[in-house]
Amino acid sequence: MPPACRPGTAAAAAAVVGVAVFLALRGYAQTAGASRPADEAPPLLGPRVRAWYKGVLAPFEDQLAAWGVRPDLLTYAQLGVSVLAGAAFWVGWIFVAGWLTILAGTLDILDGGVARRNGAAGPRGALIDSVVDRYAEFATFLGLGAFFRDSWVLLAVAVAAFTSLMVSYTRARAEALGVALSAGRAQRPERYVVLGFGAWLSGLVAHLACPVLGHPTHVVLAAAVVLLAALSAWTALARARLAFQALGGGAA
Amino acid sequence: MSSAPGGKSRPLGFLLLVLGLGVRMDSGWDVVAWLLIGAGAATAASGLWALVRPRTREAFVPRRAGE
Repeated sequence: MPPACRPGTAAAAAAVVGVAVFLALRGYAQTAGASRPADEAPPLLGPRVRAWYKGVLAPFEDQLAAWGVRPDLLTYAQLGVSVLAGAAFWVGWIFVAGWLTILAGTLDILDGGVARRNGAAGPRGALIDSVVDRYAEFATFLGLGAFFRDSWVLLAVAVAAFTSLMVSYTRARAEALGVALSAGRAQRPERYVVLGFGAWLSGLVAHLACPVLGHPTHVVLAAAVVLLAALSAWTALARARLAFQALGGGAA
Repeated sequence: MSSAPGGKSRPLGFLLLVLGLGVRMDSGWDVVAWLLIGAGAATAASGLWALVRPRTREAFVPRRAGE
């Protein structure tokens, strides 16, 4: 059972996160933005943010590639971490669940990077990655749904889970029909950031506001889930519209 | 890409430190939490030290005669 109120620890965690954000902004300011072709619906995390995070991960990719770690192993580790994140949400360890969600997102980026460095990137790895990603998302949403089982937020969790799957399904189906479809505001990194940082912030606010309110509150996590559902629904519908236009808009 | 000294230990230390604080906030596993906090603080500190160390070393480079 989670302890009721730990505002001192939450204040220390907020200070550590603040220092990390300061150092991250310094690194971000020194990162040149990678140019990419203009999409109709570019992702919310722009190329400069992605380039900065890849720069942070580059030494780890080098090390993992030097150790000969297989990218598949990282993909399965991502699934394991996502299951743990779901379990943490389920039992109410919200801050830890946010940490695990961000770690899962990082492993999702690392597996592709290590595969490219090892020259192991190929259709088999891409298939394993896509399939495991869906199970990983389901595990996290299952735990989130269990946490909000007595609240209206459960509906938002269900919408977020369904629309997140639809974002990926629409792209896969369109690509099977010969339409390249990489555009979309809320892709997987954006979804990890909204849920992971939403859970972090919710954990901090819950413990900092606890002495005033008398009990922990997770309104911030509820807001993050609603935002995630809205962004994913928007992205899935935008992708479907783009695919429909690319296919000529004729009869089905 | 990032090649700054301490490029691995700073993010790793930060992650361990934040996990330790999270475990302390969310659970009753205080021993685990303090172990993570200690390991994270030490790792992050070594990464930050590696970041500032080259600058202090430059001050000890002897000047050649006539410079």
